[in-house]
Amino acid sequence: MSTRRDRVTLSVPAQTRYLQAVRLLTGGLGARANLGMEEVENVKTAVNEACTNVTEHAFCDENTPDECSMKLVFFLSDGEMTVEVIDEGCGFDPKHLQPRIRPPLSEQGSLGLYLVHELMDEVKIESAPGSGTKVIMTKRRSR
Amino acid sequence: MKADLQVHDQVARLTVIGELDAYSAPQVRDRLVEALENDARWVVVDLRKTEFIDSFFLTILMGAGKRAGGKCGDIIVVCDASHLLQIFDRSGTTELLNVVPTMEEAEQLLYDWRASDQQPEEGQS
Repeated sequence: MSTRRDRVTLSVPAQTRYLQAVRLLTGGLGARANLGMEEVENVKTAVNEACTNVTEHAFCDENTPDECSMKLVFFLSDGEMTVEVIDEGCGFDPKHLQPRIRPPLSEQGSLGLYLVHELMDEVKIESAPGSGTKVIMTKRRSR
Repeated sequence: MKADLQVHDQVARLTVIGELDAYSAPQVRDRLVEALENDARWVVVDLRKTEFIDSFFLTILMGAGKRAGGKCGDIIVVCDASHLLQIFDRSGTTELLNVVPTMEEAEQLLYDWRASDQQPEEGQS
């Protein structure tokens, strides 16, 4: 099996109008990493959720300014893809997150991060107030 | 994304073609809210030609169901794509949103709700 690991980076404005483009690239790279069709869909959804969180929460303004961006870094190998979603927004203390507990099904939202954990094999969140946020998630091909 | 909303006989029927995310879904939300504020008591959402949904759209559906439920109505989602069904399943919303695989099942559920809605309440003559 090849041990080659490719790295692909993308920087886009932190605006919801770019979500579709992000999903398109994610889908193409998932196929490139030889993930199964359902696994590719899972990664697309998880990346979409992480990016939506950036557009909604990262920059502490009601409307994210156009000049704010998010960066995605994809690491591809045969049967595995890791995606980092990085922003330089206001950050937060990850101690306050309980992403493994399903949030109450209410109108207010908050399902996004829970879904990320449900759909990916590994998820790690690095953040601190004032220091931005990095969500690192990995999906592997099932045997 | 293309969305078609028809309201007839107190049922709002929404059909979505394409992808629903935090960019495209607010248009759908606004139209659903408008329908529910006017004539609709029940909502049927047809996702058989929908390629992508996310938690933002789930939140909109839950909100629509809540509004419809407040008027003694409810919501039904028609969906047969495995990757979308997984989103309902993993988020725990399959039962809450009455997700069914065919339009026939949706019509039957709607028929049952209408029938039970027309029955007189206990104690009434």
